[in-house]
Amino acid sequence: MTDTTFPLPAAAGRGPGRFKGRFPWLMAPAVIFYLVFFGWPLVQMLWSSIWSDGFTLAGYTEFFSDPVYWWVLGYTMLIGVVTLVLTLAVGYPVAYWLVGLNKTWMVVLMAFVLIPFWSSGLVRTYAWLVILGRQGLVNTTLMRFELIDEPLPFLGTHTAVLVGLTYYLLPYMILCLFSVMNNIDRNLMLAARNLGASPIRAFFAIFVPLTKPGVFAGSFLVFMLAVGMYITPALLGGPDQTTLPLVIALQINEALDWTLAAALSMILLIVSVAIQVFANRYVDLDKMWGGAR
Amino acid sequence: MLQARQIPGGVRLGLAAISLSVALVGGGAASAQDKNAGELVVLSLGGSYQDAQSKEWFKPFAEKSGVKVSEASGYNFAKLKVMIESGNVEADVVDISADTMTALADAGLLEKIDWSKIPAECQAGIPADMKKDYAFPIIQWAMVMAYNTSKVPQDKAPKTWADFWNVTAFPGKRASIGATRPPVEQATLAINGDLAKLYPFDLNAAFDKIKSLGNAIIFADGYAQVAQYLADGEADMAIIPNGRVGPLVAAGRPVAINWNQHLTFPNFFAIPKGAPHKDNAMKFLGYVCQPEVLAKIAAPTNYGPINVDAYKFIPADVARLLPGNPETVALGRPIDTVFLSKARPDIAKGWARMAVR
Repeated sequence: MTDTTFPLPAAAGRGPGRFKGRFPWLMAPAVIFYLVFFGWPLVQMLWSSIWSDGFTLAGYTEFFSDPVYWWVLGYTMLIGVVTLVLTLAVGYPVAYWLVGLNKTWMVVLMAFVLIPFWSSGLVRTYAWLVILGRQGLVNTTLMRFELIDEPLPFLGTHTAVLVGLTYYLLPYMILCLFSVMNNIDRNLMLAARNLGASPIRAFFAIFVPLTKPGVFAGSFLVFMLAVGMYITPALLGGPDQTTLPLVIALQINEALDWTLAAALSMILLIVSVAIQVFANRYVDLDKMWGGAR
Repeated sequence: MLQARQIPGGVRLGLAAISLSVALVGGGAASAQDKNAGELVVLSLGGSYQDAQSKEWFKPFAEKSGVKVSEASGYNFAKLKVMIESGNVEADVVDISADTMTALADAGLLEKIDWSKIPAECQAGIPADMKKDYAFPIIQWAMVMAYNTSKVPQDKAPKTWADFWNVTAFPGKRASIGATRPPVEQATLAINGDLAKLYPFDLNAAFDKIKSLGNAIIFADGYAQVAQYLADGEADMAIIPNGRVGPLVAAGRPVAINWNQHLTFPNFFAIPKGAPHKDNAMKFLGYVCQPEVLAKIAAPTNYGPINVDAYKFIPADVARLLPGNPETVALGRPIDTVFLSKARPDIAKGWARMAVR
């Protein structure tokens, strides 16, 4: 098998348990870090969702008794799934194409993926306000070519939110796919061709199954990030694009119902974990996060 | 992901408080020779509003009194609540809106204002209902209707909120702030235009009315964005604070204000409970309350002083653009802070509920 050329996560080919038995104390800083900065806030959040001047389940009761939250949760999940599908549809060919390039071009074009990835999410979302606005790039171009008479209303629609999210999360998907595709031995395709497979058959029978870990890793990452995303729906969406993170922020900053906000956060977390656990039954997560092969 | 960020907010605030208190200790050592003067930390709203406050109020006060004034900006209700409840009070004076003030005062998070320390010449012009126990009134701003005069000629411009909601007679895109302060009052006035009987109103009906605008309205995340929408033609009319329109007019944009059915929002200086330099805060109020001092920020901000005596120090052409001026005052009314402060959770919920209805 070829060696890795890009220092991406999947390049780490060692098993997770290699150091475990010998130097457990090496884990201590990481464990302490996680307990202090992740575990403790999580406990605090759980606590504040059930404790407000005494034990209460008011936040959870409110969630389960009011269908508005169900709708918002459903919409949030739907946005996550659609974003996942869109990033996959766009990202897969791009990653495939990037892997096939020679090294110089790969580095140059990879920059086009990485530079947006490194830029501020707020700035990138604001850019879409400029592009999709009534006097924005898209509408002025369409009007100039007289394809439309009236500017199309993009802002405050599902389309705007999905475009913004897809654009924002595309680099995550491409990087996941790229790292996996980069490790696939192209000779396998040649062998398939040699044995009489058509190029399409070789692609779907050999290449696509081998990219599965990347597809699942990318999909998970994109879905989880899309479901927790706050800025994009807030800026590009309207009232119809209210997602659960927006409701949580509203409860914290405006309604000051922190019990409900904590309960909603816990529910979003539980649903996300549940999806991951469910997926774990069908996909080998260890393998997925651990490496390409 | 968001849920992981919520709680560390508290941690971050704690860290900020620690670093700030370290900075304050350092600053204290530097000005130790100025023994009696001490310090004052003001927390305001930022932007050109705070620039004007800084130039006309904070710096002159620091010079006159010898108190070292430091400024900060950017906070919201939640942050103030956490700050005061956790005991890490970083500010001595905060500039807050009326409903935030009401809610904080009700929660017992503000210091009482010692009105006996406010000079008599300051008190004369303050309307009696603005002499709050826990806050000192400074300015009022107005939520007005503004429109693009090149898209909506002045004679065909909407005059009432009912007009604003009438998309067939008054075509054009509307803009408003969204989730954080949905235009519930304006929607109510569109249903029933009686200003005097505005409060209390039915929130559900208001949200239904907002929803009925559909694609004709776009919602922004902040007032700056509403102003931007109006400036760059994204919207032809907007529900917007009057102070955000002034700079657009000054920049030559074809924008005009319709003062009919405007709502005024008072702003206050309050002293958070446990403020480290409470006495200096009162001293500062005793300075800033003077009508001629109050009047100074009217021109740069377009926000009107609550103290009516301050109008003696404001030129007529500036006064005309201020909320509370004699020409337009009868066209609007003040908000009901008690109603709004109580309705706050329901307004936040109503916004989410509106989406699925």
